[in-house]
Amino acid sequence: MPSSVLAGMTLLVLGESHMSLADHLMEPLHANLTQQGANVHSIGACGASAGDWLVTKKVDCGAEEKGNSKIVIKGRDATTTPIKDLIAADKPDLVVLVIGDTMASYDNPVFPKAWAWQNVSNLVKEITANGAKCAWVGPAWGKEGGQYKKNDPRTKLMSAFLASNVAPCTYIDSLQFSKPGQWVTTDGQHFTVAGYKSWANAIGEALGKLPANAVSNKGAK
Amino acid sequence: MTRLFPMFTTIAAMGVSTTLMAAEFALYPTGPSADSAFIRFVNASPAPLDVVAQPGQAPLLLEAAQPVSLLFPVDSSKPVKGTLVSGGQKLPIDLKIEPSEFVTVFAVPDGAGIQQAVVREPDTDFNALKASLAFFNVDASCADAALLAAGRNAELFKSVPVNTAQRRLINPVQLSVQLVCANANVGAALDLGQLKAGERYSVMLVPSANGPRLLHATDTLSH
Repeated sequence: MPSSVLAGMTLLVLGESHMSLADHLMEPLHANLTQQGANVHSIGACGASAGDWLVTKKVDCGAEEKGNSKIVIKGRDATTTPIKDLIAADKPDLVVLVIGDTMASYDNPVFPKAWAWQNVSNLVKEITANGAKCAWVGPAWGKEGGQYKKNDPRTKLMSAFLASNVAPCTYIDSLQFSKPGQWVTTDGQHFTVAGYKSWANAIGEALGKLPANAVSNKGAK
Repeated sequence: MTRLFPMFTTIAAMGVSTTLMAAEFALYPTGPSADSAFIRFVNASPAPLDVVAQPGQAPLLLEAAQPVSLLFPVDSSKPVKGTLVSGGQKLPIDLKIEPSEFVTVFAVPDGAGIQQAVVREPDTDFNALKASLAFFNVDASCADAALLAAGRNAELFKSVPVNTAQRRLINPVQLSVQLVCANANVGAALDLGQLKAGERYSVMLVPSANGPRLLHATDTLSH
């Protein structure tokens, strides 16, 4: 594998339910980024929206994987941790956020734009104020319907909103990684193991291609 | 003054979990039950202004040096109540704020006292790649209130009616603005400095004893 821009970088990867259960996104993404030479700390919290990473909030499930240790699955004791504390502890070059489905309001005919802006802008400002670069991974195509009422138009709208509102974070557009319905889901929103492997590989490849000044402030003048 | 007012910061539900297990997945909300809503206060009068949420609570003090408050998230399902206090005068606040609304409550000079003006911002776009600039008009003495980009003679806002606001996305440039009333420049240009992408700014036309004047602020959320 050619040398990756991520080699030697410290990464903090945060996400929602996709990153919170076994055989989901956390394990293949963590492995991919580690293989590129990054020192990776991954944390997932089911249902956590962007603003939940500014505080400590109890969630229904979660997971954590650090370095070469195995994934630890958490139950009702799972919480989010304020991003400021995580950055102080890990001193990451790059914070990777996998947050989108928890903020799309798939079951609401009206997209809560002001709430999404409030959440996204507060988290981005907190990350940049604490000296880290960030990359925001948006939602992937799922399957229409299911218990979460995931649907293509709202997925597209959520992705477009994030694309224009996460700056100065880099936006990673997951909609470019597959066609609608291509990755098989179990419930309209969560993918099978194969789908998660495809998503992880696509995210890893996109992150590995970022310019050096998008993944670290080190050396910045 | 950045102190949070409990009444104004009862944030609309930001994702309270419903704990149901379906297969191996935990169900969770994919957004709030209602969009966020915000309120802020502007003291356009020469006297200090106290904004009191509830009797007995420390007031939010707005003075000439810092006349614009932070934006406070509010619960749109309940009315926002409080009092504007200026000198011996008290004006009640009783507002219903809809989801997605940004409401600005002005205390404007009225004789020797103040009167209240409420401006509700229309639904706007958010874009972190642009600067967002709004023009508020609470001065009835300025006919066809408009705002130009000073030195460029480019019209940013045209004929903004009294007690309304308009907002637009612009490139994050160095900007000075010129107030225009009835097609004539009024006062000196106001330097807003270098605008930043992702920030929201407000220019506010308010009345004064010396005629129309402009206030400006960076719109900052209270956490």
